Order: sequence, then structure tokens, then C-alpha cells
Amino acid sequence: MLKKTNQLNRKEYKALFNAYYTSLCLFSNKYMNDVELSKDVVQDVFINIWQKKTIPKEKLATKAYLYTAVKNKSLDYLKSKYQRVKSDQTLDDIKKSEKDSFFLREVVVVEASEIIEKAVNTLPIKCKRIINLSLKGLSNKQIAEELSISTSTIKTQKKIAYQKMRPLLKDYFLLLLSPLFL
Amino acid sequence: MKKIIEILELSKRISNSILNKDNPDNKDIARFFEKEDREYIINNLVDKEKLREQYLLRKKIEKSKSENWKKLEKGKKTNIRYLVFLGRVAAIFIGLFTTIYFIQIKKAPSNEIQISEEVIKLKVGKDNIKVIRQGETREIVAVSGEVLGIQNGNKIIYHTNPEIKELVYNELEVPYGKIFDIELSDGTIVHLNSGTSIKYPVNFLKGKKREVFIDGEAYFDVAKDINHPFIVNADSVAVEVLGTSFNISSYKEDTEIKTVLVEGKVNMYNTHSPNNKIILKPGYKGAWNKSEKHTYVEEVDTGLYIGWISGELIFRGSTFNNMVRKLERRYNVSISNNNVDLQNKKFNARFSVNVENIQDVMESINKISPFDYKIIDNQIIIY
Repeated sequence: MLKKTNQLNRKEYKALFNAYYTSLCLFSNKYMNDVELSKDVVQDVFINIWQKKTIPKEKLATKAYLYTAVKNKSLDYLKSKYQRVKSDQTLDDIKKSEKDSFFLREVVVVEASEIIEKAVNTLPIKCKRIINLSLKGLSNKQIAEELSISTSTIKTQKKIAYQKMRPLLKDYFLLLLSPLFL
Repeated sequence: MKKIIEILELSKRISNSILNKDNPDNKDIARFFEKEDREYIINNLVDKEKLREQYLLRKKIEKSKSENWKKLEKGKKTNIRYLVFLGRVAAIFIGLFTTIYFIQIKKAPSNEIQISEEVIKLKVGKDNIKVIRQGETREIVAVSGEVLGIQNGNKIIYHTNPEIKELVYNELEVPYGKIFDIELSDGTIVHLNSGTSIKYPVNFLKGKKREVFIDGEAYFDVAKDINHPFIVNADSVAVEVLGTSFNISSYKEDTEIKTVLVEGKVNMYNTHSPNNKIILKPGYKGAWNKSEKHTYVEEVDTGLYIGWISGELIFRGSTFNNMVRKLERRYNVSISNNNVDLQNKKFNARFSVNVENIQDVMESINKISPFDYKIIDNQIIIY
């Protein structure tokens, strides 16, 4: 039989944390609606992992395991909170978020948006700057003056970017380049 | 487990189709999700606001990542030692350790501002003031013992009670740093912004006008009842409606009392010339200038005026002074500005109170227009 789990060492453990921590917090927040509590939930899940020291070997299975663990911990928390507060609305909300379809759709949103953000973010800085200025409505010539580079460079950089990025990504772009001041 | 792996693979395909074809593949998603969830997914991946929200949250989490790793690592080392030597006892110990550890995290949110002691107060009688804790569920009981309504989370809902034959008022006071909702006995919903108090009858009487009094800012979604006009009194301004949605802002320290109409029709007048009514149309703002004693009407983007309901702070061409007042109320901080140049500088900015704390806000403003500042507890000093 194939060995399906992995003994975790410190280095792997840290890599696991680095790779999944943010997305898992974001995911937990879909249940908790509270970022600080979501962080606590994820932290708790990581502590459990270290205690058990085993984790699925295959990458997708690891992810599946983590998402499921965070879901369970989040729901546990909500239920224990419900025990204390007892409001109908909370119970309705919990029932809704206990559904499998809720779990799966939130996984899709967190996963897909992470991949897209990463893709946009890995464009070279120069390229990003050019696209940003062009989205602001500046002509190639104006961009050339602004960044003191030649117009032909701008054309090639734009081509690289647009080959990767379609118009829909404009919103992602604007987001990553100027998150606070629109 | 198998299903979620398929879902993870689907996520990869969706992001790839957005990156390469500019469109999420609807058919592929339909294989796994019903219509409602499908729309939810697509909306979350292409809607600008949703993207922004998610992105900011990610950044916020990223910020505390290394700090949280350190904590995790520290805790972990102790755990291992006990695991090795104590075996079963260790499990209990770890449980205990984790709990203590979590309490500590909650107690000291690094260098975040302490939550103020100020609370939401509900005055149901002359000497009867109740403290309202957000998120709780409880009955609202009159001095006479009658149940007037119920608090459900962040909202108080008043029941209709035909037994009550005279006007009995309650008063609700929302401190800085908090927002709260009430639903009046006629079904009118009122969202109250930070630093606002409102006085209203626990029950509206048949044949009488529906009248409330407000100091601060609120968004009214008035239940339609053509026989009973609804009047909001704010300082020297009164707004009369039949059924409509509008925002009114009347803080003592502001120079203007502003009414912004979102939907329906309102009549505005003031105590200085009560016969001089101004009719507002949706998308318009009527601002009564307290010192000039004059009302200005102009077309506005209503979104800028009602964003606060969902925790947004939006500034468009706002002077720094104006921004400061709103930040102080919403974050419950006090900002003293000694930088004269900054006072009348104008800013465009947008913050989400649930995502960005006051440190984040100050950092962002500072990036646009650098200045020196210091944050001590909930005092911010700008040099």
C-alpha cells in the first residue's frame, strides 16, 4: 500500500504555514465574520497539526484537509457561541453555513482569487507601472515622458502585459496598484 | 474529500479562464453548483467592490502573519517538550496552554487602540438607563414591566402595541466608535452612526404624526403610511416624509445640517422660516448652513453619504479637517492637528472600518501627504 501521509518536520511545518495561512484566515472569516477570531481559529488548526505531525502527502489533499479542518473549527466556535447567546438569527446563519454547498463555494472564491492575485502580482514592476498609467488614460508618449523611457519599450511591455492580462483583469490591476486611494 | 479535491481543481480552471479568456467558464461551474451559488462565485471574482474587500482583508491578515508565526513557534516548542516527557498528561497541558495563549492574544491586540469603555445606552424612563451590549439578544422592558420590543444582535425592534394610548418616549445613545440600528413600531428602520442620539415614541399613535428627534447622523428607511407623516427633527431643521429613504447628518460641531435623499420625496424646513419648505428629489442634498441660515440644494452621489452604514468611510475632495471629525467619531479617537498646512488640504480616500484600523488609516493618509504623527492610546498627535 502507498503511504498517504507525511511525517512533518519543522521546515515543512513552516512552509505549510507560509503557504496557506492567509487564505485559510480569509476562508475562516467567511464563517466567522471577524478577522481576529478567524486568525485564532487558523492558529488552533495549526497547533493541532503540529501535535499530530501527520499530513496528507499530496498537495491537493493537504489543501482539502486544511480547508475542512478550518471549516470544522469555525463551525465549532459558532455553535459554542450560539449556546451562550441563543439568538434565532445566529442559528439560521449557522445552519446555512453548515451546508456543503456553502463550504465548497467559499473554497472556490478564496482559491481562485488567490491564484489571480498572484498572477497579476508577478508581473514585473515596470510593466505594472506602464499599465497603470495607461489605464489612467495616458498616451504612450505621455507615459514615455513620465517614466523617461522610449515609446518602443512601452509598446513591448504593454504587449507582454496584455498577452497575459485580459480586460477583465483591469479591476485586479487597479486594486493591486492603488488599494486605498481610488 | 474527493469532492473538495474536485472543487480545488475547478478553482484552478476558473482562475485560468479569467486570466486567459477574460471570462469565468459558466458551464464548468454549473457542473458543481446551483444557480445561486454559481452567481455568488462569479460575482465574487469579478465585482470590483468584492475584489477590493477581499484584497484588503488579505493584506491585513498578511501583516500579522510573521508575528503569528512567532507566537505559534514559541508555543510549539514548549508543547513538544511536554509531549515527549509527559505523554498523556501533556495533552491536557497543551489544551490549557492553548487556551491561555488565546486569551493573551485577545487581550493584547498588539499595538491596536484600546476599545473605549463607552457603551450604547437606552433610556426607557426618567431614571432608567439600560446598557445595550452589541450582539446580545434580550427583551426591552418598560419601567411598568411591559415588553416593548427585543434587542436582536445590533438592532432593537419595537413591537406595535395598541394598548399604549399615550406617547411614551425612549432615547438611544450610540457612542463614538459604534453604530447601531433600531426598528420603530411602525416598521421604520433607522441606522444610527457613531456619536448619535435619537428620541422616539415606543409606539406611534393613530391619527398623530410620527415624530422623532435626532442629534448626530442617521439613515432612515421610513415605512410608508400616507395617513401619518413622519417627521425627523434635527436641531433647527425638520424633514417631513410619507415613506422614503434618506440620510440626515446633524452633529453639533458641524456647520451644516445635511439631508440626502435616496428614494421618494421629502419636505425640508427650518424653525427660522417654517413656511418656507424645500422639496428634495432623489439624488439631491439639502444643506442648512447654521451660521448663514440658508439652505443650499445640490445634486450628489448618494453612495458617498450612506457608505457608513456598511462600515465605509468615503471622502471625496474632503478637507483634512472634515476628515478628522469623521475619523474621530467612527474610530473613537481624538486627533489633534498642529500642522497648519494640512488643515485645508483636500483628500480622496476610502476606508473600510471593518478592515482598516486607525493605524492603517493614518499610514495611508501619510503616504499621500507626509507628516509626522504619534499615536498614544486613542490620542493622535500630528506635528
